[in-house]
Amino acid sequence: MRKILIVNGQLVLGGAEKLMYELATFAQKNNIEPTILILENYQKEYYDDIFKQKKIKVVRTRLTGIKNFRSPLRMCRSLYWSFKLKFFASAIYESIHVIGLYNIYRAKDTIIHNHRFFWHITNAIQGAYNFPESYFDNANDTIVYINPYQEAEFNNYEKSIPVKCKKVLFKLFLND
Amino acid sequence: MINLNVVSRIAEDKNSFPNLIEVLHTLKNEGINDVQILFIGAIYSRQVYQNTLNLAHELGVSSNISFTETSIPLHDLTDEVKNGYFINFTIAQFTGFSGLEGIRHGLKTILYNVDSTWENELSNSIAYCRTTAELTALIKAIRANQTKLDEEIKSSNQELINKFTLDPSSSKKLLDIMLPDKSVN
Repeated sequence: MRKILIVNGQLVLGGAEKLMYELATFAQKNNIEPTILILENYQKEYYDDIFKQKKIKVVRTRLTGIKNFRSPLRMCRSLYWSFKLKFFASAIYESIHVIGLYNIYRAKDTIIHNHRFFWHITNAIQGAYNFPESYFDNANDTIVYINPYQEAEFNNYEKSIPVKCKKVLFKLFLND
Repeated sequence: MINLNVVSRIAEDKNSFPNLIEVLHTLKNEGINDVQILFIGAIYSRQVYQNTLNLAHELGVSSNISFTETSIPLHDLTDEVKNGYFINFTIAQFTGFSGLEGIRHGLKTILYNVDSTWENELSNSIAYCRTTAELTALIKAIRANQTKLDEEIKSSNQELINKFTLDPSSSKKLLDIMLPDKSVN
């Protein structure tokens, strides 16, 4: 079965997490196996049980700052995932989906794949666009806008930094 | 009594709460004291929470607001809360998941634009408010003729939700995103 990876930093009750849920259930319906990767956060949160009920795999680990001799099991798991995602992500997953541009730093250098999608889920009024230039320097990556206003906001932002990523607009949606 | 609900984290990036306090203040100045706002969401910023409380106190509307101080799934809200009106912060025509889910749950949802840059992009549908002035006017209209306005809001909400379902073309586009052609970079 074809697989995708969806990356975020938490599974609380919120819009970003709802987007993960809708993407994951859409994937499942279409015979694609989603894996949810939650980085640097081991707390059980709102959507953990919901994903469990849906039989969607949730992995909580870290890909950086791995040394943790007080928790050898977690350290081994981190080593395993960091190796797997650095060297074999392209072979295992069809695409990688990072939820929120503010999460790019978690995946940019740790998950190596030719089809990474960075879902842009905020608008300018929620905070200035001050992302580093390096986030958008790979022409294989794609920014996914969820509303047309982001497109206009980002075009404006591009006047100050070069952006090599591709861009696509895809509306928010609710599965049935 | 008009019960308004706002489903949102109490956080810096969601901080359009002062606008709502001002709406309460405007209504109070016109002799309307029976409008209550319940803020439903976890407090991520004590500063934003405190500033909202302080502003309400200064404007004499403290007794018109309350906070759950925790996030609550829509299906766990009491019927009394569900019967109120849900104000959803939007960017012009764009509505986030809290608004979409609310409408899906049959909640009467008012879409309030919080970015003045885009206020001319909004449709004239009854549930959309471009500005605090329009939101204030809508609340007054609801007070004046609740049954009629409820019907109009529900109808406007239904029109909106239809735009957020996946048709075959958007499903295909999403599949293309999830399963890109590996030979093309």
